[in-house]
Amino acid sequence: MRSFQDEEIIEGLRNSDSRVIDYIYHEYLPKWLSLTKKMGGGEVDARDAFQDALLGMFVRLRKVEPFDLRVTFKTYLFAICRKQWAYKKRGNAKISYTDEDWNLEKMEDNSLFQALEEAEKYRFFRKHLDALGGKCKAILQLHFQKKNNQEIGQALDLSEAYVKKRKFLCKQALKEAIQKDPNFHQY
Amino acid sequence: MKKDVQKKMDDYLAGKLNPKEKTSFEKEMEKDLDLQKSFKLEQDLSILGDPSLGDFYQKMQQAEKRSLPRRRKLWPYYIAVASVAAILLIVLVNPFTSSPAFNNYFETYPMVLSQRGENDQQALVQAYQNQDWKRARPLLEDWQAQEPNNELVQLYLGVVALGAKDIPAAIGQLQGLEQKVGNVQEQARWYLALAYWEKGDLSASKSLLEMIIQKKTYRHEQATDLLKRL
Repeated sequence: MRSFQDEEIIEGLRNSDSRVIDYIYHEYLPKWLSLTKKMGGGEVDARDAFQDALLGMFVRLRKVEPFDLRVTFKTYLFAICRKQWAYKKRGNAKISYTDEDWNLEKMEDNSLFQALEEAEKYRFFRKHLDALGGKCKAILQLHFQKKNNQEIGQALDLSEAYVKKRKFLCKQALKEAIQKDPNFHQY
Repeated sequence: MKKDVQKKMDDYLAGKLNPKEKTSFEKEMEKDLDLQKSFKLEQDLSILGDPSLGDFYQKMQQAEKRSLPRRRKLWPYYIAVASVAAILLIVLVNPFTSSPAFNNYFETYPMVLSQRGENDQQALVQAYQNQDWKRARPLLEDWQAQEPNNELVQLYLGVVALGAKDIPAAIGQLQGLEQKVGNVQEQARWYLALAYWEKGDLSASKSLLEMIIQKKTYRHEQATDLLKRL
C-alpha cells in the first residue's frame, strides 16, 4: 500500500479520497487499538471512537475556516480519538501518556468540536437508517436528498402512490427507533 | 404523528407553505411541545441528506469492513457440500415437480375491488390479476402494514409469494393461516399443499391433499387429481 505524507492525508480526507481513508485505517487503526487495549478498553468502543474522529475530521476540513495542522497527523488523530473514547469506554482506563499529549484545545479551535458533534449525530442517525434496510432505507435516503415522490418512484421503479404511503410509514419507524434509543437524549 | 401534520411539517421545511400557512404552523408549534420536539428531530434528520457526508461515511464503512479480522475461508467447502446436496436432490426428487406441471394447478385466489377500500386498489387488483408479482407484493405489504390481522391479505401475500416461487415466504404466510380456524383456512391449505409440492416436500403436500379430499373443501377435485400424480 502506498504511504502518504501528513499534508497529503489532510488533502485526501478533505476530498474523500478512499485511498487515503484506507491508508489511515491500515496505518493507524492497529496502533490505536493496541493503545486502547493497554489502557484497558474494549475494541468496539475503540473502533467507534476512531470512526467518530475520522468523520469529525472530514466535517472540520470541509468548513470555510482554514485548517493548520500544528502537530503530526498521528498525534492529532489520536488526540481526537482519545477525546471520543473517553465518553464511550467501559471499565477503568489507565492513562499512559501525559495530559499534554492529549490536549486537543491547544491543537484546535471551536470548529473541530462542532464538527465532532455533527459527525456523532450523523453516525447516530445513520445507524438507525441503515437498520431499516430495504425499500425504507432507499426511499428515505432519496427523501432526505430532497427528491420528490415522483423522482423517488422513478429511481426505485415504484409507483408514486406507493412511495407516498411507504415514506410516511418508514419515517415514523425511523423516528420511533431513534427516540427509543437510550443515547437519543444527547442529540 | 398524523399524516397531515407530517405533510405540513415536510412542506414547511421545504419552504412550500404560503406565509399564512407558515404562520399558522408556527403558532401550532408554540402551543404543542411534542410537535416542537418532532420538528427539531425532523430538522436534525436532514443531515442524512448530506451527499458528501454520506459518501465519506460509505468509504469509511468499506475501510472498516476491510480492517476486520478475516476468518478462514470456508466457502469452497460450503459450495462443494451444496453442490452434492443439489445433485442428490435432483436425482431423488419426483420428476413431476417441474414448473409446467405446477402451473396446471396454480391459480390465483380471486381478488375483487370491494375487498380493498383505498385509492390504489385499482393498481393492486390489476397487478394481482396480471400476476405481476413484483408490483403486487409491495402493495399487499403496504396493506398488511395497515391491517396486520387481515387474514385475506395474508392469503394474498402467500399466493403472490407462491406465484413468484418464493417458497419459504409462501410457506411462512400460509402455514399460520392453515393451522388457524378462520375465514381462509381451507384456501390456505390448498396453496400450502402446492407450496410443499413445489419445495419437494411430498410427504407434507400429500398429507394436506388427503385432508382436503377427505373434508371435500376448497379445490378438492384438483387435490384428488394432484394426489394421483404424487
